[in-house]
Amino acid sequence: MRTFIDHLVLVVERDLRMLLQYKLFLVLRWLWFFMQVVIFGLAISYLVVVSDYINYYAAGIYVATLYSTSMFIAFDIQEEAEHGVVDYLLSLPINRRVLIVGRAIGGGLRSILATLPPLIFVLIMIGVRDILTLLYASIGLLLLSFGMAGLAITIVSVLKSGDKVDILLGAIDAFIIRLSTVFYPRAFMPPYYSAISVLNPLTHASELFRWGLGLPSEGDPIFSLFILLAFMLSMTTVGILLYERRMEGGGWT
Amino acid sequence: MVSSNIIYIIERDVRQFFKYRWWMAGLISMNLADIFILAIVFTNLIQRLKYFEFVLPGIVVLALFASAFTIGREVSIEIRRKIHYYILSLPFSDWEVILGRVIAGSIRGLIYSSPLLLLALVFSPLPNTILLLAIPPILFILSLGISSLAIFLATVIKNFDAYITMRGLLYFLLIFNSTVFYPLSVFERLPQPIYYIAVANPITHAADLLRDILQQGIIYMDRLLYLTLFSMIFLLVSSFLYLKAIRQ
Repeated sequence: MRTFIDHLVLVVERDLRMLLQYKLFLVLRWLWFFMQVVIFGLAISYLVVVSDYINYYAAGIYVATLYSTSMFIAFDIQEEAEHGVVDYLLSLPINRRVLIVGRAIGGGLRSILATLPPLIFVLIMIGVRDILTLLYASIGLLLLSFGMAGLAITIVSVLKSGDKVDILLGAIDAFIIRLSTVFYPRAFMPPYYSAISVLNPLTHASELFRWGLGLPSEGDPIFSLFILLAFMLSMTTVGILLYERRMEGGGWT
Repeated sequence: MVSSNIIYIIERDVRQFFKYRWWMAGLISMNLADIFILAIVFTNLIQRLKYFEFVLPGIVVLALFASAFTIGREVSIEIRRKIHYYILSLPFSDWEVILGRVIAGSIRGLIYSSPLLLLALVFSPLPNTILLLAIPPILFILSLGISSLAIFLATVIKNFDAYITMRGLLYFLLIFNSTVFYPLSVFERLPQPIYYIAVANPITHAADLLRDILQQGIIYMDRLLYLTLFSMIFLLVSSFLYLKAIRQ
């Protein structure tokens, strides 16, 4: 058991350290977030009929940033596969399952770490009304982060091709954010988009986060947390099983 | 003879553009999602203007910007890896290479934004159809300026990571600080530096020019002049910098 935990910590630590490789990417992501809120959010808030839209938008765009950072592990795994690092990882005296579970945990944790500055910005901007409510909502963010890392691992394990991963992640990125309540309340969506957005984990994370910040929310916090938990468990399990099965035998292109 | 050499270079660069099919697929998804989801929902959220009609020309300009900018990435890689020595070994003059590349970048922008322009035509009132003939040259002028700006950035910033970062920053700055998504009147309520950037931003002028033609049936010559000036200045500066870089 001791070895299991030691190895797990080692794998998670490696993934967290890899964050430092992406200094420029992170700075760019933070600046993108900052400009989205300060320019786009502020400008559009003068046009929309929703009151206090800038705070609504800032909370949503944080969830979008967390989502896209969590998905980034797909590119990492893809690159490792292309450069033969997978074979190196397989040669290590670490249990295969520990290696894979560690990657899933590391992927989720580093997304939270990588988005800390935007999170702090949002907390300062909107303010914290009730710390316990916020902590409850933060569990939802953690679940989203782990679930998205699981989804990214699933996609990269199934496709095994850099080009296909790029196109699918681009398409998912385009639609998953816009078909959620990241940018706008469900009440303003046409029924066909609203129906899809109910199934979208980004909707539940956004609503839960807004609720945690004391902003008007369209969701039920318990239901949203349940959906996010189900999403995290299913995606992580599928991701781990597929990655484990596909890791061996090469075939990554 | 001179023109046929430039055409060879343009043809090569345009062919190269279609190798980015995965990148294009991602961009197409993003643009379509912006039009058919984001614009539709924001139309319900915004009562002061017909947002769907408003944002369509903006998205055409946004798409043109992203695609015309791709030439900068190639120039940056070529300068860094010294591939331009190979290009210079070909029977083309330096100026033919430079002009060919800038024009190819512009054509990329036109090619990519054309389907979106057709969509904008379908959903716009088009009060003056004769003026529609002015759209391709206007988009070409903008595209020329954007591809020149991309080459300018590629020649000034030698480090590839720094280039990628600057490209991203410039993209956010020029797109968010323009009238692609919201009218200029909104900027008057934002901090002054943001307003001044929006006023000086060529993307603002291009988006408004397109909007004016599609929705009002007019062209403001001062906007066109500003856009042309921007493109000519960057065409000249980037050409000289590119020339300097490849002759080193």
